[in-house]
Amino acid sequence: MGTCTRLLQRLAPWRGCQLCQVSIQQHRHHQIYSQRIICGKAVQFSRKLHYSAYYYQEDKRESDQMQEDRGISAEAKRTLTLSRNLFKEASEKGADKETFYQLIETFAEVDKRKRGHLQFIETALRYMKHFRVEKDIDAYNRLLDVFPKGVFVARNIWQVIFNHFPEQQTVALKILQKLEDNKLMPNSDTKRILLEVFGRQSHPVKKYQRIMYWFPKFRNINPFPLPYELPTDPIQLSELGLKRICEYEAELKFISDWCDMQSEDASKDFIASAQSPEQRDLLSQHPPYRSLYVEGPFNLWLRDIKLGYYILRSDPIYLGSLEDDDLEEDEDEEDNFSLHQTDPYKGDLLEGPVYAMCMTNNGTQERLNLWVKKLQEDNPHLARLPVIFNLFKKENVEEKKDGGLMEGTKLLETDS
Amino acid sequence: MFMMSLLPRRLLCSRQPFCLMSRILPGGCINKCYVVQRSYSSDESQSFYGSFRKNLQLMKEEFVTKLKSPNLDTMFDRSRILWQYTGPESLKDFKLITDKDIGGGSTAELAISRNNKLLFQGNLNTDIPRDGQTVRSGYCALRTLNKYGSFNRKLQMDLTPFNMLHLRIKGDGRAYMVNIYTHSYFSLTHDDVWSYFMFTRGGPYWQTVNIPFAKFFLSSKGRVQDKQSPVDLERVTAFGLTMADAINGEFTLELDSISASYDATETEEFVYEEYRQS
Repeated sequence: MGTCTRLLQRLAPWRGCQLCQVSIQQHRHHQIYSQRIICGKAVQFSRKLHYSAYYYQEDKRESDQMQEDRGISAEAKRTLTLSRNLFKEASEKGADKETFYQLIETFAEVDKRKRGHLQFIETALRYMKHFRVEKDIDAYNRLLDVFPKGVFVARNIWQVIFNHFPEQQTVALKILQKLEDNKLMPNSDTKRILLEVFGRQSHPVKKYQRIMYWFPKFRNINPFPLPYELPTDPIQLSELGLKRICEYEAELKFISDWCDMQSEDASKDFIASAQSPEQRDLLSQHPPYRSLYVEGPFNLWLRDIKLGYYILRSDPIYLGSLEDDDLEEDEDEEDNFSLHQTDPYKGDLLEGPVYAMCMTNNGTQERLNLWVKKLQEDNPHLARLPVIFNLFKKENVEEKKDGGLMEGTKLLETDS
Repeated sequence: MFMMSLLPRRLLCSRQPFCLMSRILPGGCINKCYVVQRSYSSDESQSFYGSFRKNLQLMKEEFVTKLKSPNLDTMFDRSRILWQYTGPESLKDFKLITDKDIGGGSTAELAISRNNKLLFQGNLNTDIPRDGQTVRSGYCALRTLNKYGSFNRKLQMDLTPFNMLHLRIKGDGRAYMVNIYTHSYFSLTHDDVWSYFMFTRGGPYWQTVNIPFAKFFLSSKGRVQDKQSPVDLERVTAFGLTMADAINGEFTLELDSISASYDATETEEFVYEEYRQS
C-alpha cells in the first residue's frame, strides 16, 4: 500500500514515510490529499478503494514545466484564487467566446485531479455574461465537461437515496438553471456528459429530463410570435409592433420624407402610421362637434424592448346617455329624471373608437401634429375636427407612482 | 368543528355582499346571501357571544338561501361570470403580492384605468435582494381574496360544469400567468397552484383570453411538479395573475372580467401526461 501522510503525521511524526524513506517535512511541501504518492514507484490504487486521480513525480514536473510555459506559476496554482485570477486576467485582455473556451482548457491542464473544479465552474458562471457566452449551449456543455467522469456516479440505491456528492450535483444544477434562464435547449452532448458524470439516477439528469419535457411543450404557445432575433432598427421594430397591435386589417404607412429644418439628424426621423379602411370610414362619420384626442405614449413590449405608441381616438360615450336618448321618446319624463340621477359608474362606459395609431422616434407635439396633418391626406374630414393633444410626460414616470400622467391639452389649429 | 373555529376572537361581522358569489346568484338575491370576508381590524372588540349570535344568524341565512334555491334558473347555465369590474369597490376583491416580501424592488398597485376598469400596473425589478440567500427575484401577483362563510368557513367554488376560463383584458405585450388556487386538506399540498400562461397582444383594443382548464399545470412553491394532475374544480378558492417574466420595466394590465364557460369542443380532461412515478 502507498503511504498516507495524514496518518503518518498523526502516528509517527518523528519517522519518515515508510515506503520511500522521505522525511515528513518533505512531504509537507506537497499538497496532501487523502492518499499520497511521492516516490517514483508506480503505486496503483484499486479504483473501488480510492477514486482520486494520481500522478507520478515525473508527470508532475512535466506539468509544472508546462504551466510555467503558460505563465502560471506553481504558487499561483496552489492558491484558492486560481480560478478567479484566471478569469480576471482573461477578461482584462479580451472577453470573447474563444477566450472562454481557452480558459476551460487551461484549467483542465493545470491540475489533472481537477482540484477546485466547483469553484472554477461557479466563477465561470458568473463571468459568462461578461464573455458573451450566455446564449451559447456549447459553453454550458464545456463547463459540464469540467466535472471528472465516473467519479460521482451513484453505484447503489443507498447512494441515490442519500444524495451522492451533493455539492457537485448542486453546481451542475446551477449550470442547468442558468441554461434554462437563458431560454436554451440542452442538446445530446449535454445529455451524454451528464450521464457520464452523474449517472442516470441523479438530480442534474432529472433536471435535464424536466427541461426536455416542458420546454418543447411551451415553445410555440405564444399566439403573438416574434422573430427569434429582434431587429435593432427602430423603423423595423415599429413595423413589428404596429403589425402586432392591428394584425390584418390596418394599412401601414411610413412617413420620413418631410423637410424638417430644426432636427439635425433627419435621416433617423420617422413616423409609422397605421389605419385600416374601417377606421377611415368611422372617422369620416365622426360628428364635428366632438373632439378627437391624440394620446400616448402607451407602452408596447416586444420581448424585452419597450416601444411607445400614440393613438388618435374619439372621446368616450356613455352608454347610459344613449339609452336615455332612446327612452325619452317613449317614456315619461319622471322616469327619465330618475334615470339621469344614476351614478356614472353604473352606466357602462363605452370607449371611444380608435381611428389611427402611430409610432415615432420623437414624441413631441410638433411631430404628432405633423402626423395628424399627414393623416388629413387620406381623411379630409379630419381637417374639420378639433384635436386635443394629451401626451404623458415620460421623464416623471419613475418618480410618480401613478403613471405620471400629465394632461397637456392644447387645441390644434384646424385647417380649412 | 364549528366550536374549534370559534375559539379565536377574530370573528366576522361585516356584511358585505361578496362579488364572486353574488354573480352566481341572480340580481334579486344578492342582499339575501351574506358572504363575508374575514376581518381582523374592526371586529377585534366584538364580544364572544355577540359574534356567536351573528354567526348563527349568518348560518341561518345561508340555510334559508339554500332551501329557497334562488339560483335555480342560473345553476344550469353554460357560463358564469366569476368576477367583473363593477366599480371602485371591485378593487377590494384582490390582494396584491409583490417581491417586497422577500426584499425585492418591484412595485405594483391596483387602480382604476382611464377606461374605467381595473388596472394592475407596476414596475418589475429583478434585482436580487442582498440577503445572501435569495437567488432570484422579481414578481408581482394579484389574487382574489379567500371568502369565508359563517363560523370562518372557507368557501369554495364549484366549477365542474365548465371547462374554459375566459379573461377580458387589455395588456401591453408582456406575458402573465393565470393561477388557480384550490382548497387542499393536507398541509403538504397547501402551496399547490395550477397555472398557465397568458400572452397579451398590447395595443388599445380589448382581448379575450380563453384557456381550457385542462391546460393548467400543477406547480408548488414556484416549481413545476413532475407528477401532474388536473385542477380540482370542485374546490376552487381563488384566482390570480402573476407578472414575473424576468424583464425589468413597467407593466400595465387592464382587467374587465373573469368568467368560466363550457365548450363542447374541448374534450381533453388533462393535456399533460400523468406518468406513474417509478
